[in-house]
Amino acid sequence: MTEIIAVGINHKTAPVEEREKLAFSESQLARSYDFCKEQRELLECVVLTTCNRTEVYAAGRDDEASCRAVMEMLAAVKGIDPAAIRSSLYVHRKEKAVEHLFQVTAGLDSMILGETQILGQVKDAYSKAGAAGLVGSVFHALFRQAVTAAKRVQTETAINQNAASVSYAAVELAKKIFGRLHDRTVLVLGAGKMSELTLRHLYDQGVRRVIVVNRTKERADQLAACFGGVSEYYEKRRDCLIKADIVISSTGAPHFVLEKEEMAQVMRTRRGRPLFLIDIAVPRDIDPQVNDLENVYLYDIDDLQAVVSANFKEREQEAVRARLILQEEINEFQIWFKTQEVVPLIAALRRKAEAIRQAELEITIRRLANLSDKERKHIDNLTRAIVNRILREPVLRIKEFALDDKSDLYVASLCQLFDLETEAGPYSGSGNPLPEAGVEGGRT
Amino acid sequence: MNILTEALSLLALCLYFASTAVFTVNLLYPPKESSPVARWLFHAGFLSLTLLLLVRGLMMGYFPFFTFHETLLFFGWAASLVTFLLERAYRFESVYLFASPLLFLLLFCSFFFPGDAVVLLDELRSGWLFAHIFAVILAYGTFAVSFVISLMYLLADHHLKKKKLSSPLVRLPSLDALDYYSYRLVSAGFFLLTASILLGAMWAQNVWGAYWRWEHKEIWSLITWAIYAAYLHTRLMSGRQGRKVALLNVFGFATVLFNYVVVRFFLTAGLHQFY
Repeated sequence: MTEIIAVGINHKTAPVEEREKLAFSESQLARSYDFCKEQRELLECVVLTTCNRTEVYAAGRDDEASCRAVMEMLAAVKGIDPAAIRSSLYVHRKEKAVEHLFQVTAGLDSMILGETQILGQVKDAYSKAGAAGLVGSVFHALFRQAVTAAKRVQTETAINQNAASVSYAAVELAKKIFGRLHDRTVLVLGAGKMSELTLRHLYDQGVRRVIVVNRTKERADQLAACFGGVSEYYEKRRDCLIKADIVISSTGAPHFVLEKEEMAQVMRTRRGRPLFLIDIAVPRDIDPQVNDLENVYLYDIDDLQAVVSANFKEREQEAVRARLILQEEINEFQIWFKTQEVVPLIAALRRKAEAIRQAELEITIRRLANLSDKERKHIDNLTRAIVNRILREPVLRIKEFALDDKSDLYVASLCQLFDLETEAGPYSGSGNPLPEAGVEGGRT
Repeated sequence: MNILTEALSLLALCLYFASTAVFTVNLLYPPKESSPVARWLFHAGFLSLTLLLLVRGLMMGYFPFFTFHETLLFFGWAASLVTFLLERAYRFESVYLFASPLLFLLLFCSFFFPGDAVVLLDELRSGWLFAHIFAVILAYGTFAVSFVISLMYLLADHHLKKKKLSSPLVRLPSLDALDYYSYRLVSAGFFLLTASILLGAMWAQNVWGAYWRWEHKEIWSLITWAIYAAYLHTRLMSGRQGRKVALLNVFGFATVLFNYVVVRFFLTAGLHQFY
């Protein structure tokens, strides 16, 4: 009987000081996989490590034992006392662990609800574990199903449709005003970190005309060079405002940089061409009254923040739908997983029947010595067909029993009935506890 | 009128109403996968309106746009056609939502005016006249849709200004696109209106020996023409866009309606008495 567990720490359970104690570097990850391979208790293992979480997914015969093994691994690789971290770690077992992985992969457990970066990180963790030889048939199926579920959530819900950050919200607003952003001009006032981030998003959406105005020309030159734009002296900002469609303002000025009177003059020259002003400076750079001017759309940091929080409410609504999708996919996995438990039983049944067939066939063939090759072949086929026909129904039934809560009982009685010797679990019967990654062991 | 045309006009009315309702629901509670039902309803309404006009035309032996009842139907048909083409050209589905109530209203009004046929004087049975009326009603239909889009612009502008972004009404095309569509439609409508005025003048010269008689209808048509000319001038010559231009377009359509309704019922005598 294989059990799946998830042991970990994330942004909800621990502050960053504790999370960073358990963050894995590449080399530590390699060492952790080496460590896991030596643990007899751990049959399969995937370590997921991101800036918000470190989680170890493990499959083993006994969940207590594998849990201990994982703790030891964490302690050994990170060089800390297992007892010290025990309290801040959560442990999910069986169905809970499966459910947890599905939620993590779909971004429902993320700090930014519904974000999709985690999907790539899960895939990455899975393939690294696979390369280390720590993924077997169970985790192959589990992770594949979790990835499928996450993709369904992305396409079938609007969970990741709206901006989740202030700078991305600004880009979405720009699209609502201008549609395609390809032939638009962006003016950056004040070359700070935040304006660079917003500019990066706009650049990704196709904006290629960038003007940077900064008090110090060097910084303006630098930023403009990054985006193939031009830099201008602060004194020429009026001309730049006339050219621009989108203005990102983030200067360190203690007073308004753009006053209503000046903007009114600019707008007259622009002849009603819409102007989108993004004021992400605190204290604000642009007089809020500028928004009263026609065809000017001024958003300050609070406005953008309000857009983001409204989007988050929408994400939460979508998360409800996402959970339903996950449940469907989890059920599908559980059906497969439970049928896995009876795979050895079915194999044993088949082996037994085949052995009987071979023995009886041999006796018959020996008695009928002067049979032609063709006749022998016919007899061989006949016996094979009889065995297959007889076993077909029982095999189907066994798979159905597997989904039942009392599956253990059925397995035991079948073993008794047919005098079978089997050890339940997908790893029984093979010398190597880990089938190669990427091979679906026994999935029919 | 006979039972067939009655049935067709009721059918068209119901279909436009249903399409309005479905579009509104879809907009307020956006479905995950956009459902084609509302579009089908709109298309079915358009089709039944087309059939209605064809049946009427065949039964009466003239183009059915002489009584006020008929022009309302034809106006609705022209606006539907423009909406349909616009959606086809730009995949601009929300135009259906905003155009459907207008179309429903036009059809609804037609029920209050007698649908009886008129006896046409021989002098009215002329290709020039048909072309004149055809062009002007197409122009009205185009202006109507352009007006609807300008309303959408003003609505979107308002929402962006007031930062009411959670409203489902912000699921419109960008301001820039709305501005462009309404401008394109005004250009087309202006061309049709100009053609109609010229055709009418030539027909009047043929029949009555005068190009221009300063009737109310003619004066108001000229005013409408001048407003749209001003709109195009500001767009093309001084490159203006934005909210004021959208308002000018709304004003232009107001004069169209004034000309169509007020002038028809309260000011007209003379040759344009039907319109």
